Amino acid sequence: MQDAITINGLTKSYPGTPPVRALKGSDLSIRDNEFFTLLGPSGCGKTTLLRLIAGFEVPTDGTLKLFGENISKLPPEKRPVNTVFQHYSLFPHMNVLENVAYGLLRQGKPDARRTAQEMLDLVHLGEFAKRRPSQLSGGQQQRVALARALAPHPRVLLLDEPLSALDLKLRQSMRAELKRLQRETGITFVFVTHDQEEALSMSDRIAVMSRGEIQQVARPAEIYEYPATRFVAEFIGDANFFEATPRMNGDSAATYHVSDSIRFAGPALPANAKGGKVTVMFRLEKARIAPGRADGSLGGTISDIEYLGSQTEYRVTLDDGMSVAVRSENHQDGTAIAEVGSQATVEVDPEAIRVLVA
Amino acid sequence: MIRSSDRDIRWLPGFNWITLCFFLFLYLPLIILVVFSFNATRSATVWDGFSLQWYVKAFSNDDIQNAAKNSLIIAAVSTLFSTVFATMAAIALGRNREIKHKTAFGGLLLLPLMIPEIVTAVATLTFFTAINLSWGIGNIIIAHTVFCIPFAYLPIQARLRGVDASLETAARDLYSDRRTTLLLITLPLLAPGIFSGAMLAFIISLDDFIITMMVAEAGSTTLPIYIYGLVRTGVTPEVNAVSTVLLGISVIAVLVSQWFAKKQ
Ligand SMILES: Nc1ncnc2c1ncn2[C@@H]1O[C@H](COP(=O)(O)OP(=O)(O)OP(=O)(O)O)[C@@H](O)[C@H]1O
Ligand SMILES: [Mg+2]
Repeated sequence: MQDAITINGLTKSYPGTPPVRALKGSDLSIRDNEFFTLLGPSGCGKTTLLRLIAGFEVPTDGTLKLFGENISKLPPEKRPVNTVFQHYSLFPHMNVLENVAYGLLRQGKPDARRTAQEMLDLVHLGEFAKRRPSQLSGGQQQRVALARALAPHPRVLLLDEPLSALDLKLRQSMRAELKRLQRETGITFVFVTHDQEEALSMSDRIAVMSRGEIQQVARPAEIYEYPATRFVAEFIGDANFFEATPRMNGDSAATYHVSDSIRFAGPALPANAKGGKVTVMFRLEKARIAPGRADGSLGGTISDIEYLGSQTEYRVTLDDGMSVAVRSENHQDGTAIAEVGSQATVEVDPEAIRVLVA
Repeated sequence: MIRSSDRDIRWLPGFNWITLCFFLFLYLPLIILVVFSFNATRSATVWDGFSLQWYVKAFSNDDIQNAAKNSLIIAAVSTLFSTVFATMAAIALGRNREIKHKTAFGGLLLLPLMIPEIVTAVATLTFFTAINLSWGIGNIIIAHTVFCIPFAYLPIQARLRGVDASLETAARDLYSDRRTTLLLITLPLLAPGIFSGAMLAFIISLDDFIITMMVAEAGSTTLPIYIYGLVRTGVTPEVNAVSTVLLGISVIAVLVSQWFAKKQ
């Protein structure tokens, strides 16, 4: 099947002294019918990429294809792509129905008003058709914006942090709603967020961005379990990181020496490792904590305990001053596994160890 | 304890008197002018009963009729042109990303507000003479259009600042080209500003004296110039009546424009 969006070496520099390099030669393919998420911290270039796809910005370099057709030179009104804006940008001088019908009317579609009404029904706002946008709550405006962008049935829908202005409860219910709309319409969604939970829970695939570069593109579980770079590992989820020197144990295993007393058994060194030190990591919940010490094991003194409801996070200061955090499921009766100041052992399975070379 | 009145400006010594004097000197003459335009006799100091005779006299005076007609035509046409130009300038400076030195252009556009009007008047007259322009009230229309532009520009530009540019982006996204976006999104949202600007330009043109005086040729007398001519031979209730009408038009224009701005 043909990809919905293919970008090659796409670059965007904003004028300035020095110019702002918001996007640095990215390659990316977004599949048809996919819920695709651009995830990254503020200023990493997510909006820039979205605006390039929509046609609001002209790329400095590179190509942008929509279903195989080069659209880099098309103005926004000629692209079968619609956008849900972060602050909705509903037309204040039109009522809700007129807003939703706007794109259809410009396209000269017959039955624009009826289709618009159907779209409003689809987002459960059928009875608000005659209201002005200013007479709606934030969540309702959000859904009008969705209906307006979906009504012309674009081939790709772009959503720029559409949930960020909503409160937590609404945000969570809108996640399900967005997923449902994507499935029901079969339209490719490109969703921008800096909220990792949103990205992990909604996406078919995620592209993690940092400083104008795409760090990794993968399914949510893969992003979480096998981060490609330290940036991805740090941005998504919580993990312990150590600089270590690898020693191979045959072809499929290695030991990673952090210090004289700290070493982790783990998988073999990745093929692209350059030698010298590497970064090893493991997720907080992948390690186990046990009271007391045993010879030769990784252990130390518990310096901090944070109760999180279903889990508790323990911070253990190892003998040589380094510290490691462990998250473990709580006992059913609510009793603590260990106390601050007590001795504890940290166990990490070799399978939980990840080796990062970038 | 600090009483709120301690920090109130009204507490300043003499403030009440200053305020009173201000209102007295501003409004008392206006009130007297309006009241005596309805006086039954020619006296401008003694009230002799209500009458509309001065209005009837004024309106049946051919010269006044002609001057009023000129004034209205000049004001209407120059309002139209100056508002169109001001709107174009505001949109170009406020929205077009390709235009450089926007602050400089914006400043140049508003500079005429700070140039003494007599200087503009003399310059305009010299210029018109130099290029041998003599289009009757056309000359006045050109001069008025030019100096009304900054007045019309101010409210339009202020309004445009309040219109979120992402609305225009959204329209482009929804299959509108630049022109359609301008017609269906930008201009409707700008309408209150355009309307205020037009009202302002209309009033400014209607009561302009100095520039009109300079560039007006024989036969293109406007109301302010006609009134000035009458006053030199003594203030008559007729002058009061015409002035009251001018005042009325201005007040109505301001009220309408404010009402329109509030409605949006
Ligand atoms: N019009 C512009 N002119 C100059 N620089 C810009 C412009 N738009 C964005 N930038 C810069 O480009 C970089 C990327 O911006 P962008 O808006 O794409 O980030 P983002 O990932 O969407 O961030 P956020 O999560 O805060 O919305 C930033 O450094 C930003 O300052
Ligand atoms: Mg953004």
